[in-house]
This record gives sequence, structure tokens and C-alpha cells, in this order.
Amino acid sequence: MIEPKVILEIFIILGVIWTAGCAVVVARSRRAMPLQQLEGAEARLRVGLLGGLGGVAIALFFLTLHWLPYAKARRAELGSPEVTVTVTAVQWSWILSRHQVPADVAVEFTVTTRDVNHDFAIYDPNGRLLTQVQAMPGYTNRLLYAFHAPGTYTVRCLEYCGLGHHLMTVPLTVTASPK
Amino acid sequence: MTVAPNPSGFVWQWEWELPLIASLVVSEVAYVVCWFRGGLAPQRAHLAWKHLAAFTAGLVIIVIALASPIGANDERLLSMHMVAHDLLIWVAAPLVVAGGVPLLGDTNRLPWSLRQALELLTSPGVALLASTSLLWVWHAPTAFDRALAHEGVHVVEHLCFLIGYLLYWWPLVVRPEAIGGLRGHLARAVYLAVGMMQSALLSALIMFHGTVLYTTYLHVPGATLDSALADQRLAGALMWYPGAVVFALAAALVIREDVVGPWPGPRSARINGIRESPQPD
Amino acid sequence: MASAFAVPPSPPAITPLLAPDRANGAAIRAALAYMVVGLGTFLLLGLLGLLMRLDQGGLIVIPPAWFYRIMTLHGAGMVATILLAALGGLAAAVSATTRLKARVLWIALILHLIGTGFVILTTLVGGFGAGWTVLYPLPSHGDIWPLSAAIAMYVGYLFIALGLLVYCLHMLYALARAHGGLANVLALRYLFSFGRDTRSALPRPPELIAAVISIDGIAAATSGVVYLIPMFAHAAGVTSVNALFAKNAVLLFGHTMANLSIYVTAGLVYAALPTFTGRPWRTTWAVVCAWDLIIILMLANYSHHLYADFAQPLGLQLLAELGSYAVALPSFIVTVVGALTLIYRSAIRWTVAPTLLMLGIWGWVLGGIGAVLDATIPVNQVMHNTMWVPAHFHTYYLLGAVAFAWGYLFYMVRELTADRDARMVRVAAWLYGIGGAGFILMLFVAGGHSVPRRYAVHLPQWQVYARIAVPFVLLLALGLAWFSWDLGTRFRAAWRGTQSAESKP
Repeated sequence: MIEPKVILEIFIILGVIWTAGCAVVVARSRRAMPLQQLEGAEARLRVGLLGGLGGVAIALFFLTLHWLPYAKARRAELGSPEVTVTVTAVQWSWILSRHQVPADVAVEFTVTTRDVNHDFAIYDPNGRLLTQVQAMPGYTNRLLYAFHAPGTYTVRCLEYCGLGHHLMTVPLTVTASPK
Repeated sequence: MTVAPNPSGFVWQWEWELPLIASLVVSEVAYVVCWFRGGLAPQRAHLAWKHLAAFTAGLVIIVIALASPIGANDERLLSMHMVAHDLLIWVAAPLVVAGGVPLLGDTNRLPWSLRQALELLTSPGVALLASTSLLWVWHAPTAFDRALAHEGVHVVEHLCFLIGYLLYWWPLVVRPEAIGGLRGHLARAVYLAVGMMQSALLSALIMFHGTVLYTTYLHVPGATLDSALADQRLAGALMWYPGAVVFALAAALVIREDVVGPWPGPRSARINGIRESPQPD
Repeated sequence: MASAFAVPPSPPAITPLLAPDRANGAAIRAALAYMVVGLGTFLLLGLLGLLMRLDQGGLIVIPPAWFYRIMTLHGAGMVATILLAALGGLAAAVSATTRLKARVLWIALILHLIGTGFVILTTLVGGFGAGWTVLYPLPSHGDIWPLSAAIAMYVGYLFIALGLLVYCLHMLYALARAHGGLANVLALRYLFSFGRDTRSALPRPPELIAAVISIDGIAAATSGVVYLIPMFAHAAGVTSVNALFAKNAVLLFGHTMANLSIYVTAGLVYAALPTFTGRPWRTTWAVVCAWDLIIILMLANYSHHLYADFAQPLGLQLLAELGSYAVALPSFIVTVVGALTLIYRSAIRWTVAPTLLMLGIWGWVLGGIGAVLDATIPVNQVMHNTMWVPAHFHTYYLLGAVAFAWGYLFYMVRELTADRDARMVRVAAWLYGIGGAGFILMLFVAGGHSVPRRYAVHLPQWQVYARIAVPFVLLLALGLAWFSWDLGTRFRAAWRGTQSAESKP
């Protein structure tokens, strides 16, 4: 489960490291040194970065394959859905076939729209975005998710859809798991 | 001119107004005579067939705008009225300038008083101001409706548009060295851009207006509020979109190449650049 | 492998802005016009952005219909106008050694202005508010704007695309003529021989970059047309359009248009930084490889905008993720490292122009970190269409492309007037940097707290982020006002500096 705040912290840490690196370069820009003396180090740095960053990129890519949000991947992770919620987006409201789902159970949202693109996004009671899928005209997208804590969650529209885009919200109640 | 009752809408007929046709024929004859004579100035001007063709085409466009079914329907449909005006200001006017101005020969050798008048009228500021204000003033609902109600006022309206835009196109169409000619890319681009923007603004205001601006069109037999509004939207679009094409075309035609010296040096010298080890500041 | 990093045979050069005898004066005047119009419009559109932040902070109330119109104009206008300024700078940089026709540059500018006029009028007068992405079928589903407003928007985009096309085609033609073919401009023989085949003279980096972005610019303009034709047909009631195709087409168009600016302005860094560091930026094999790769990589990752559209084929999603990671590599390893190497131990004097270029390098990578994080599919699940998205592209723009553009304009004025930059103006660069950094940081923080993007009204718990951003935006505005004042007072002298005895103004 990816926490947005953790991503923010990673961003800040990497940003601080990068800023420090730039500060070092700027601080050391005062005293002159011939460019030829730097060329070897520059070449080595480039090769190092290519290997290092390239390796990280490839590793990250393969890692992310385990956490794809698409129906097939989530089905493998969560199992077959026990509850299905039909979601129809319309300017500017949500039509859900049910407004209550149990916790700790794979729930499948089948999402479509009657008019323009919308985005079915679920926020937890603390205002944290958990998962989302676009509602596309002419398509039905399937989003699988398992809620772990009971409470009142909020569905918001996250794809700009016109005048009432910011008003398009509906509560979704997660009840305690029957197990 | 009264509106002929015709419940089916568009009228497919030409309206030959004698004063209009007579004045155009006289203008054409006068032009041709001057053209054969080699212009109006004492010294012979450099006149070519293209000048004659341009002037004649300009007058033909005026006929199409005002006498053809386009003009014949200008009091029943705002969209047709708009097409007529478009033809006058964007097609006829530049053609007449292109064909007519060379008759004057070297404008810098005209008599002093004429030169002064020309310099004043065709200065970019005056030309822009004249064409813009005449366009906007005549599109005010009171003025426009009055022109539709009285033929004399309508003639004045068309004359204002024609003269205003003869002035507008003058600085762009004449040679840069002539009186009123715009020199350089910046001046031409700015002048074009301002002319384009003001007419685009006017068109958008007409096209997006929520109510019928010119109430005369509501009283045309067979017209409804919806049809008049749709006609108004079409009219705005017919001023906006073709206008954009006209200005794009005008840019391609009037923004000419600078005269510069030969490009310096062989390629290797260019790539090598000038300074060897410049100071950091 | 060692030969890939060997110094190529063409002599080192720090090419000045002006060619001998000011032969490129006309092209530089056109470039100045692009930059003044581009950055001037940027200032006005920035005021619209300030209004949006004030509204989202709950400090003023803008009716939602107006908010979305302003948002649409701000988005479309900024993408077009920043690209205009960038392309102007690049034309100036290239013109020193490649003959460009000033006439064509001016015609492209007029086409751009016609298009911009449509966009401004249809949003401010026509009420159009479907967002700059004009995502089908929203433009024709506006309850509050007429279909004619959507059509006007499309026509505006068509003219802007046409202007871009004219610029790019002319640039490629001029470069190919100067270098004996496009393959030489892209140094393909040099590339594929790993630096061994040096029979043709190598292009300068700005020339290589101009060719690369012109190719992608043509691709962007073409995708725009490919998107718009069905949109016109749909508006005419002729056909309905597949929503997935439409989203692919419009994002390929929009993503490339937005990306172009940062790569074009990177070219400006290659052109200007050598003057300040006293070190030439050579066309090495690494530079050629990186930029030739960018032609493809810039186009390959657009689908990272469609991760949440589950109907998109998985292959395209994964290509986008890999492509998003991959495109960061040549930019960072070659351009950023190259710039930092030029600066390191160079005894550079930190006047306003190099300060802005350095700010842009810092900001570009910062934006890249945010972008790469969001381009990771599981992360995108919880960041897509939150404020994280405007956070990363505002960083790319404000602290990247726009910083580069202002820096390059200061460089141009300096070269043309042979005047030193006033010492105090570098303070304006710091105001700009600090203001910009605070502003974008609050967007990132808001994204980290899952605040949605494109909301006209923010919940009370979200408003604090916009409120904190406002003073930073004011700092930014102060810096920009200072830039404008300083450059404004020197502009006439700079313009005269482009004129030789023979050339007309």
C-alpha cells in the first residue's frame, strides 16, 4: 500500500540531496581549474550514473510489476471479488449500486460513465487517496480493492468534467468484516 | 430598399442598383484610361498588367458583395451581410490599393499638399484608428439597424468600411519606400496583429452574444428568435474564421524578406566562431 | 568505448550570439519578438494563476464557471506562450551559424498569435472551460458554453499547431541546407560509428537540439491535427469518437507540446553557458547519442498520463513507465552533468543570467524527481490527478524552462548591448527562485496530502496549502517585475545592437 505522504518524504529527501549537490558545485565554482583536468572525472561520473541510475530504473520497473492496479494483477493479489459495486458516473454525481461494502474482502468496482470522462477515486476517512480508476465513455473499467478499516470513505471525481467537478462526491461506508 | 416578403428564406437574385454600378463602371473606365496613360503623375509610373487585374478584381468583388445574392440578402440575414462586409474590407480593399496606388507613381514626388495629406491618412496610427473605429462604430446596434432601415445610411456605411480599409491595407500593400509604407518585419507584424485582434474581438463579441443584437433581423418574415440567434452566431463565425485565414495569408504575402548582405564565410569558419578564449564575464 | 568519450576533431568554439557583420540580426530581432511576446504573455497568464491560488486558498471567491475558464486559458496559454519564448531563444542561438529566414519566423509568430487570439476569446468571451486538454467528449458537453466555443478552441489549437509546424519545417530545412543533409545535422554517421567517422563537420549543440525538437515538434503538431479532425467531425455531428483513441491522441499532442519547452530551453543552456564559464560545450558522442535518443524517448512515454485508464493496452502502459525512466537518463547524465561540469571550478561570475541558468538546472532535476515518482505506476495510483501533477509540471516550467528562457534573454541583451548586467538584478533571480520554490513546494505538499487538482473550490482543510503559497507567488511576481523593468530599460539598445549599417529594422 503506497502512502502519498511517504512519496512526499522521499521526494523531499531526494530534493535535499540534489540541492546539496548543486550547492557544492556552486560553492566550488569560484576557483578556476582547467577543463581538461575535469574531463576524466566527468566521464567516470557519467558511466557511473548510467550504470547506477540505469540499474535502479530497471530494478524499480520490475518491482512495480508486482503492484499494478489493473484488474488481473489485483485479482492475483486479492483473490476473486466477493462483492461487486456498479459505478456509473454522470455529470455531476455518482450512481452506486450499493453504498456499503464489507472490510477485508475483495470488492470489485465496475466503473463507467454516461457522458464524459470522470475518475472514480476513493479517499479514506483521514482524507488520504487510496485507489482510483478512470470512468471512460464506452468502456467499463474494473477496479479491485480490499478495505481494511471500517468507516466512512469518500468517493471523489478526479478527472475534470465540467462545472460541477468539485461537487461530485458521495460517501462509501465500509462495515466491519463479518469474519 | 424594402424587404421582399419571402417565407422560404434566402433569395436567389441579383440586385443591380444603378448608382452603384454606374460609379464602379466610371471608376474602372477612369482607371483603365490612366493605366494606358502611364499613371496620374507627370512622370510615367511603372504599371503592369497585374495592377490592372488587381484593381478590376477589386471592383468585381464589390459587385459580388453588394449586387449578388450575397448583397441582396443582407437585409434578411446577418450572416450574408457579414459576408458582404468581409468581401469589402478583406478582399476588395487590398486589391484596390494594390491596383490603384501604383497609378500615383513615386509617391515621394507628388505635390506637397497631396503628399502631406497622404502621409497623415496612411500613417499606421491613423489608418489603424480609422479602420478600427469605423468598423466598431458601424457595428453598434443603433447604427447597424439604422443602416438597414435607410438605404442612404447603408451606402454611407459601406463607403466607411471601404475607405477605412483602403487606409488599413495601404501601409502593408504599398512598397516600404512609398508614403505610408511600413518598413521592417516588426512594424508589419505589429500592424497586422493589431488589425487582426480587434476584428477577432468584435467577431467573438457578436458570435457569443446571448441576445439578438440587430433587432431588424427579428422582423424579417419567417424569422424566429432562434433562427435570428443562430444566424447571428453564424455571422460572427463568418467574420472570425475567414478573418483568421485572411490575416494568415496576408502575413505570408506582406512580410517580405529583409535585404541583407551575403552570408559570411565558409562553414568551417562559421562553426569555429569568433572568440578563442573569452573571459567569463 | 573509450573513443565514445574522446574529444571530437572539430575545434572548440564559444560561438557568440551575433554572426560576423551582424548577418543574423534579422533573425535575432524575430527571436527577441518571440521572447518578449512569449514572456510578456506568461506574466499576464501568471496573474490568472495567482487568482486561482487565491480562490483555492479561500481568500477570494471566483464563481466556478469563471474559475474553470481561467484555468483553461491559463493552461492552454502557458503551454503555448512558454514554447513560443523558448523557440525564439533557440532561433537566436542557431542563427549565429545557420542562416534562418526571419520572414518565416515572423509568419510563424503571426499564426501563433491568431491561434492564441482564438483561445483567449473563446475562454474569456465565449465561456469555454473544458480545460486545456480539451478531452473528448467534454468540449461538446459543456452545459454553460456553446458548441461554437469548443470549435473556436479547436481552431485556435489548429493555428498554433500550424505556427509550430512552419517554424519546425523551416528550422529543419535551414539546418539541413547548412550542414548538407539532416543526417549530418543529427550526426548519425558519427553516432553509429561510436565517434570514429568524423568526415562531416559536427553541428553545434544548439543546432543538433534544434533539429531534434523540430522533428518532435512536427510530431506534436501532427498529433494535434490527428486529434482535432475527429473533434471537428464530432462537433458537426458526423461521427462519434472512440474515447480511448481520443485520449491517446490528445495526450500525445499535449504531452509532447509541454515537453518540447524544457528540451528547447535546454538548448539555450548549451548556447549561453559557455560564454559565462569560458569553457566551450563540445558536441561529443555522448551529446549526440543523448539528443538523438530523445527524439524517440520524448514520444514514447506519453501514456504515463493514461495509467488510470485501465482500458489502455498494458504494453503501452509499461512502455510508458520504462520510457519515463529512460528519458531521464540522457537529460541528466549528459545535459545536467555537462552543465555542472562546465560550471565546476570555472571562476564563473554569478550575474543574473548564469544564476537563472543554474536555477533552471536545479529546478529541472527537482521536477524530474517528482515526475519519475509519479511515473511509477503504483505511485501514480495514489497521485494521479492530485496536486502532485501540477506540482511537477510547474516545477519543470517555472524553475526549469522559464528560468532558462529569462536567463537566455538576459544573455541576449547583454551580448547585444555589450553592457554588464546590473549587480542588483541577481537579487531578482533569488526572489524568483525562492518564490518559485515555495510555490511549487506547496503544490507537492498538497499532492502528498491527496488534494485533488482542478477543483474550483477547496475544502477548508486543503485551503492552507494554497494560502501558504500566495506570499511565495508574490515574491515570484516581484522578481519577475524586476526582470521586466531591467530588461525593458535596455531593450531599445539591444534592438539597435542587432542592426548593421545595411540591414533594415
